[in-house]
Amino acid sequence: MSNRLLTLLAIGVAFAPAHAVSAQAASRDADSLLRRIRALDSAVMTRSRSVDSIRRMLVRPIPNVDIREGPIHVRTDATLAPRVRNAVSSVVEMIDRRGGTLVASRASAHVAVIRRDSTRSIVGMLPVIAIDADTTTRWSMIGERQVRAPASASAIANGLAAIVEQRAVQGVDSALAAWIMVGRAPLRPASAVEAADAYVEYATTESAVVRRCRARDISACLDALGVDSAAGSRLDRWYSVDDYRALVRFAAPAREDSAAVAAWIRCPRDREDAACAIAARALPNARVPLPLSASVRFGFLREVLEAGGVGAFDRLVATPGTVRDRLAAAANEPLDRTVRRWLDRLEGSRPHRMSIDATLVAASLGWSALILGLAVIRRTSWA
Amino acid sequence: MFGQTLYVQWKWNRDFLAFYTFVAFTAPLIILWVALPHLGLSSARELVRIGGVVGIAIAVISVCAGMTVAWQGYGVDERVGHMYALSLPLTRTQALGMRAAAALALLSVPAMGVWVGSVLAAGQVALPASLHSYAGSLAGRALLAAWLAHACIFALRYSAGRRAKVVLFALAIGVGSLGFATEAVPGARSTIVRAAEFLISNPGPFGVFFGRWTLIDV
Repeated sequence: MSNRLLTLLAIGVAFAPAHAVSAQAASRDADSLLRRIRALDSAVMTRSRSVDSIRRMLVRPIPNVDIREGPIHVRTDATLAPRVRNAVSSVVEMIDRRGGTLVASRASAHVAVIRRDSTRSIVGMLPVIAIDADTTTRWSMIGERQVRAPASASAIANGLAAIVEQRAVQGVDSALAAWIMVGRAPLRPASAVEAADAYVEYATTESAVVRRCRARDISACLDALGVDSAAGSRLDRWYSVDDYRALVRFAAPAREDSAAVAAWIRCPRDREDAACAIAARALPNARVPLPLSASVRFGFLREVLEAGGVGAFDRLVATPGTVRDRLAAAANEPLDRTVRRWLDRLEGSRPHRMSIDATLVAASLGWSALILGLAVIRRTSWA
Repeated sequence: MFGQTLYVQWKWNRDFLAFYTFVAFTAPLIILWVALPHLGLSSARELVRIGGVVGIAIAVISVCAGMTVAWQGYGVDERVGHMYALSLPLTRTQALGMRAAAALALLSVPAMGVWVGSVLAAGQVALPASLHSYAGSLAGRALLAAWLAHACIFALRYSAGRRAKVVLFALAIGVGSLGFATEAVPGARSTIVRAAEFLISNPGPFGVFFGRWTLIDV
């Protein structure tokens, strides 16, 4: 064998294992790359789902049925259209009767969307009818309202009217918005439950100013409603010494004032009038609770708008001056007269919850007799 | 004959009736005694809340009284072998009718206890002008509720016999299933809710149970 052949053989032997090692390394690299590609694919799929979800949230397909009546413009789907039409008609009627140009213009600036949707419940998903205040849901300040499906036209109208009420107050000046407190205008009539709740609050509130209001002191009513502020601190105007025990159940003094906090604890525990007075007197003026809640105030605003008729809300928003001036302009009459009528209505809404009427007696006795009769006429044995 | 039935019912139930009458009489007094001087609840809103607690206590006592009287009457029959006075010139229907009427008469005793106790309890409280006590209405509701509860248990025991517990269990399961169905089957929800509202509202059979029960209200 020549040296040349030996050299070639040596080179061949030297390269042979080197080739095998390289092939294994390439295979490992390919596996690793494949795994990497699969991981990236998976990440892309996950991200794309998220992107799709966000896209769907931002740009949901708008339902194809367009309903337009008066200032209300709604998009919905074909299955809901008949009910939505009825609902829109009743809301338009409400705006005509109780709203005004301002309410109408604010309502007409947006296109509400009513469509089928679903929401989580304790047993899976529950179908609902979602009422969005606008097609651009994401940018709307008013949250989506949901009505349980299958919903009647009146239930849909109620949800739509609530959005119109919210829309009406958006953009009003801060003084009026702060007085209204609840962030919507009372365009819908009060339900029987709301009226009864208002009476119960009016009759059971432990406050000197509310007691004076019940005694037909109009200025006290206006003070309790936050319309007029008489001179003096809130505590002196609104609560008497007899009310302090009830008052400190709802309001606590600042925790830095240890003496007042100790008195606040002693007041209900030891029923010490002096401790109640110390705790009440320690309340900062801004923390003295309002004698009447926002819902009662809302009821009064409803009375004002009813008194003023069509355009009352426009006048309320457009009139400059104090809240009293604005309410009087909205009611189109002296506010004292509105307060008296509101008091009459409030007194008249006293719920007779414990009266046993003839229907209850007849129904109860009748059902008892029927149930007993069914048992007595059974002809089988006693066992 | 009715007098004899009434006497027998009285003998069977007098211990229970005495207990329920005593509890119904004392419950308003005890609740107001605990709430007013001891817990210091005296504002108008708190008085309405306490009146509600008294009302719920009376509702529970009345329903229990009605159910106990019905259950006890059948229990005696069961112990003596489901016999009735065959020697008497009475049909089963007449005997059961008399027994039911006697039980209804006896159930007015706890209702009287409610009325007397509520009047005494309300007399101890200085109510604000805007609040009223409803001792008479509460006693009336207690009587109606006791009669209805008695009728339900009487019908159950005399119709289902020894299967009463099974029927009661099946009814409980049925009501629970319907409650579950309101969530699980949305299509059936409105029907079930309407039916339930009819059952528990005023002209419905159980309207008296689910109405307002309170001693003090506006």
